Amino acid sequence: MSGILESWKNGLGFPDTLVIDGHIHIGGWPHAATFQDLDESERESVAFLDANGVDAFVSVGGGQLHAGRDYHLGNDFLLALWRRLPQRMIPFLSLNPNDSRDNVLAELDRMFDAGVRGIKLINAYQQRYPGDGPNLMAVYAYAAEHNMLVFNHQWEEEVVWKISAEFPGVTFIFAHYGAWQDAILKERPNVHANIWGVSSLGWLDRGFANVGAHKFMYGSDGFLNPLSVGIGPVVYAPLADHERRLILGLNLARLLEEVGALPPSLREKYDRARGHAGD
Amino acid sequence: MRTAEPMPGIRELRLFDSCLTLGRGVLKGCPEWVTADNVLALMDRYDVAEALVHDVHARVTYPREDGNRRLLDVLTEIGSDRLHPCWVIEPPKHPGRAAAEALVTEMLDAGVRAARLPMKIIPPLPWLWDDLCAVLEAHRVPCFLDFGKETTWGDMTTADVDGVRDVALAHPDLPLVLSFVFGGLGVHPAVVPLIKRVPNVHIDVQGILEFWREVARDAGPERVLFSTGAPFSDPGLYVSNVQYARHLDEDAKRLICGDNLRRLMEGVR
Repeated sequence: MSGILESWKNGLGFPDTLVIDGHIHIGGWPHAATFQDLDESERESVAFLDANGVDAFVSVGGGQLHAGRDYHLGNDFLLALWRRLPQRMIPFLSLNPNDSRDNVLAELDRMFDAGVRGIKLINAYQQRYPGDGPNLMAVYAYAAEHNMLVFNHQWEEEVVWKISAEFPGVTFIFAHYGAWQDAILKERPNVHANIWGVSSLGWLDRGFANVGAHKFMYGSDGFLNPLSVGIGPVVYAPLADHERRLILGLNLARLLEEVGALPPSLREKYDRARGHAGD
Repeated sequence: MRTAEPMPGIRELRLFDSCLTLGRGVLKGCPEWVTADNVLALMDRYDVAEALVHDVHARVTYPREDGNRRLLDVLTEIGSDRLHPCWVIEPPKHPGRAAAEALVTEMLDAGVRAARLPMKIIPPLPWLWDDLCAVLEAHRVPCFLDFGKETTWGDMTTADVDGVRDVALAHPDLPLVLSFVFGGLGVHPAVVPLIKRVPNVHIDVQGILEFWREVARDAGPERVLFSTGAPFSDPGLYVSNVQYARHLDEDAKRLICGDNLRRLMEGVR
């Protein structure tokens, strides 16, 4: 019997397990009420994490990352919230590649200087800007040069094969896992997948079996969704607890550590958790 | 980390899945189906105590009677009191109450105490549904308004929302549950306002994002039902949502997880 699953089923969350939600939007949103201001965002973020036993979250922008908005505002909000939650929150900046290249690069510089080490893309919702369009190729080059993670809602299949080969030093993370990604997840060491998605019975079980737990990370698309929409498919999956630990936190913690983005408060827990990784 | 406050255990919540599709089909992206061979094991895996099940073909293929009958045969074969049949029905071809009475009587005589109404095939036009809904209302049969396509991803148009409102107001004692209204990025913006205004309209938890939580908070936990939508969606997505929800006490969670559906089915006359 899995200790992690039993604790979760018993309503206790994850005692002794490092859990990082790798996919949470915060800030305004186009179609649903969300937190109304910085104070509420700080208070409610922590309360949601605590209610689910989640240590920290990768925070990406909200409504401002979509077409027709100013992504700078979303990034400003992330920085302001990060100042309040430096131990619980890992910000990933947003940008819109339809902006001028100078503006995009200037924003990358501004956010990098502020300490941000992750980039969130959603070009599919930004008037379908191509994943290998010139401004995104410049973003990937910037990520390679500055050792940053790149996390995208989705890449076209041929594009992710191309860019992961052209930038082998950049870690590319799909925001939504789908079975079509299995081949590249197995083939390319620098391509990973956040598990979040609404899919059919057993879709993640099959992915874990085909690819291996080392390439996946937990995410929920919170705070719009309950955080548990991403936790359930992982903890109930037919995995060993050391595999659950990888997916719930250790895989992402390792990637964050590699780019210097793991909050100091999690480092000790990360080191301790790695000690359990072989159980 | 441990939760700040302990949540109720999943088994204590006595999950009653209000939407489980039984039978096999062929659908890209959905290679695993729920059949007589695996349904109880699947429920055990996710601590689902009971489930309301309908036949896969009855949802999408005529004659619906074939699927509905097959469902009863399969449930007899399984022989478990954890599974409860739900028929997919639509207005009889001939207007008037007699045909509707016959259909509902047949259903109740077969031990079927819930109905699924295929709204994407027969839209919620009040004049078209009136006879059948009047009979279902007289018997207090809970009805699931199915807005899903073959994949079960669905949506509601403005006309759909209007139609549901008119049907619900015309039949205030008929419990209506919106099912498969989620299409990826939210629901029709009038859905939640509709539920807040019309007391016999309910929603299930598959409309992720925050919709069911808003309904539970503003209209009451009596208006929300647990469901998995398996096999078209993975039960892992939904099994813990109510258990770990904030702002709901344990009594409210029990209602949503199963007692609301038990109450509705016990209310059938």
